[in-house]
Amino acid sequence: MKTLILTTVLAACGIAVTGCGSTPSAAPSIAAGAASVEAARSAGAPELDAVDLNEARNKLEKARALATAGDDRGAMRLAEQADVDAQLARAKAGSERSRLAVTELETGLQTLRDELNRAAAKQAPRPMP
Amino acid sequence: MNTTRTLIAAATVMALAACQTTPGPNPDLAAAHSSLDQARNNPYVARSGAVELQNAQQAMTRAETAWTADRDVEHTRHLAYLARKRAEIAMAVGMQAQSDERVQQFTAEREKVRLQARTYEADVATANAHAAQADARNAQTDAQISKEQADAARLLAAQQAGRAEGLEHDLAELKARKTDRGMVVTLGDVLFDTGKSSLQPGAQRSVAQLVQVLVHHPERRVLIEGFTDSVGSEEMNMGLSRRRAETFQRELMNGGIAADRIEVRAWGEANPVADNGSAAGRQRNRRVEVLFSDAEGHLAAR
Repeated sequence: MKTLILTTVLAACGIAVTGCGSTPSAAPSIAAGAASVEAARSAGAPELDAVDLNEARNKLEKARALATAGDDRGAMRLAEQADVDAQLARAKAGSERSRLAVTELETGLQTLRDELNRAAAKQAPRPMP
Repeated sequence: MNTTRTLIAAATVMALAACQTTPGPNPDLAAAHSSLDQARNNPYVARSGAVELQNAQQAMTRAETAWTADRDVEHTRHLAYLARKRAEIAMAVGMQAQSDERVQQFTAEREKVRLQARTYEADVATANAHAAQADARNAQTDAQISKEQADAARLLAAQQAGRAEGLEHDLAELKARKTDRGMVVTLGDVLFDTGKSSLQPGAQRSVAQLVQVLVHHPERRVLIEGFTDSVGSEEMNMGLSRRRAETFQRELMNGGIAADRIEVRAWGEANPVADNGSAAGRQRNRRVEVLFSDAEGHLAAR
């Protein structure tokens, strides 16, 4: 009886020790990475920063494959990298969109100024009353 | 024995040196640091990407701490990657803030230029409207002036033509002759009492007709010339011809004709129109001639 109890306690301890020592699951990191990829996609990253978005997607895929294969540590790293890659794609999409807006405005403004100058030049010979 | 002590001391020094070593240069950490510095030095990141910059700094600290603690190149590379990407995210946020600021500036500028354009267009439209009005007025005035000038010219031409014709027509009753010098009306001596300068009552009709012609033709002037036959002294004849011409002048002035339209000249016996040897010839020579000027008032000299 005593021996059984001792054995059970030891086994429990062994399980506990093993559990403590194991790497945490990669699932939350993969979920976070996937959420960031989705956010980047809906922010226009496919058109505005495809490079970083593809990087994130590829890494996320590999992370899933590694998790399935049991390499939780490798899967977590790739999922974390996919997360920052996707966040970068989203941020760059935002800055690129603003940059395009600046260019467009600049061109429009110049056109407007040119038109005004042309109109002024055309009207100039006629004296204002 | 000495050798053994020396070896122990060397080993101890080496061991101590190894222990106090700070993490050596790690290329992944260096790259992350470089990106982080870039983000830190960007004023737009400081202003708008504070959260992202803080995340990058924390990731950097984690990577450095891990390197110091474990010297695990693989894990450090992973953490350094995360730190570098977080720094890049902070930079992207800063660049967007910079672009957004320029968008606002350009939008405000565009509004200003548009307003300018609208104001200018309105000014131009007003100016054009004024100019068009002025043009219309000028055109109207020009047309009116042209028409008036044309009318005036036509009228003048018609008047001159009419007067030229009219003068001959009007003088027809007075049996005027057309000569090189112009129209000439001859008044025979039958209109005067013999040897006198006063007009016979029957002459009044001829005078009235002449006055009427001169009133009708205000542009014309007349030269009244007196002539006699060769009977009597030349001096007497000169006086007689002058008095008769002046009598006629007076009669015309009484009819309302201005003095400056009438010239008088006495010729005496000169310029006879017939032979003084016969009574009929002498009678024709006793006369007054009224020469009409051209339309400009010029009287041709004899």
